[in-house]
Amino acid sequence: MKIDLLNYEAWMAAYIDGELTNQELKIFNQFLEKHPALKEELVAYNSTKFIAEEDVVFENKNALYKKETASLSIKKIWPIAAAILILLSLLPLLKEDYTIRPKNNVAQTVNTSIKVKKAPSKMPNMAIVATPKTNLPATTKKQWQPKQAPIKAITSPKNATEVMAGKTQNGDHLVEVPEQSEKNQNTSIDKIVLIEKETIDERSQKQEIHETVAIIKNTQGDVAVSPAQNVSESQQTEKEKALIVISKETTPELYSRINEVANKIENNIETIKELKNAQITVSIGKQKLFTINN
Amino acid sequence: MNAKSYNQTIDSIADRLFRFVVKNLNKDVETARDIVQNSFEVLWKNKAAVLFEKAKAYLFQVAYHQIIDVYRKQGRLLYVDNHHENDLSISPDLNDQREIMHRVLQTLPSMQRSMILLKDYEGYSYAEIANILEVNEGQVKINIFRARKKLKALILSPQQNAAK
Repeated sequence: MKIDLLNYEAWMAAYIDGELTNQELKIFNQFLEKHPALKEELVAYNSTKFIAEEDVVFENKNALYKKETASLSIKKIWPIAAAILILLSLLPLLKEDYTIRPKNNVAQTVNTSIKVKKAPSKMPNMAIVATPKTNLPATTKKQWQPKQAPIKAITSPKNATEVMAGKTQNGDHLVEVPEQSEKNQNTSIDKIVLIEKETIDERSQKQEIHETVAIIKNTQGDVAVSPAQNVSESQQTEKEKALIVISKETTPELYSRINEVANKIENNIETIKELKNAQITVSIGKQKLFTINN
Repeated sequence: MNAKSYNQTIDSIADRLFRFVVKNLNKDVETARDIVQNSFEVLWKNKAAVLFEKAKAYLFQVAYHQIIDVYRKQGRLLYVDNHHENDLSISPDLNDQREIMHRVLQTLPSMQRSMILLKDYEGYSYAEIANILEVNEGQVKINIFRARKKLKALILSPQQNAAK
């Protein structure tokens, strides 16, 4: 915009307000040089500027001040809430009953319904384990390889061989299998493993410890599983079996006797009429191991 | 904006805002105090949306709106161009320059008065004043010019009368 005698006052107002650019300032100063009489008017314009009255103050500032409220923001809360939710979700797992296998004992199970107790001092390594189908680590256990006559699996062709539920009949605490709930009764157990595990017992100077898995329950029957049989085959054909691990420390003599008993049962149970409807209890010493219901 | 920066704003702006309001309201201190307090309450309510560096302009804008409301209630809202020289009521015997300036300022339309105060008291640019008062920059420029022209005439008049 060009400055002249008609618009110079607007230039003067802009000048005292500091709104002129450097170029405009140059033009304005040149104009004033040409019209020095206008400088007095510029002084008059300059007098229209107001100066802040510093003594005028707002006296009630204390009423305006705010304090930071102690509130938790969502950003602070959500990690805590997430941690609580995770802990709550883990609570059911903490209620599971885990039994950890001792070093020199075979028995190890993760089973919420069947507990395992160690054998009394006379048979310190004996234990019974009932394992659901998903929990039996068959591939991790060494397959049982008989040195003498094998302990054959004992099954009745028509009827089931059942595990003794609860405590053994003579009241001892060797085997404690709680009453199964409806859910557990329907649990399918399709892995049967006969395992003999050889370990060295340092106390008895390299005495063999035989850990035997025997079939106790076969509700479908008609299948006799021997240790030599392929486990996978039995897995395919047998659908519901309970598994009991008999862990015992035996001498070869005792072992052969057990073998003998097993063979006799197997050979005679079919032929002896009296046994067809009899309940047969198998014991080692005073300890009752299982009962066969024909 | 948190409480700390809000309190800092009070320390640095409250007095300035009060001067702006009380000058606009012709020394109505009580109303000016209420307007300042309300303006800061509005700022606190909207603290999440107002940056610390923008708080000053925000406060002046809120206060200006309240000044306009007061004018409307009092029925003395004077718009930009509907005033005339008869508004001048400065007595020639006033020799207190400060009081003279105050009386001269009260003769201006409310918007011009606010523009002059924002310019002289706070040093805002035309563009910033336009933003606070929600008008365009050209309006600010022309209104400030008109206001100064009038002020110059009013200020010079008593002196000229006294010289006579």
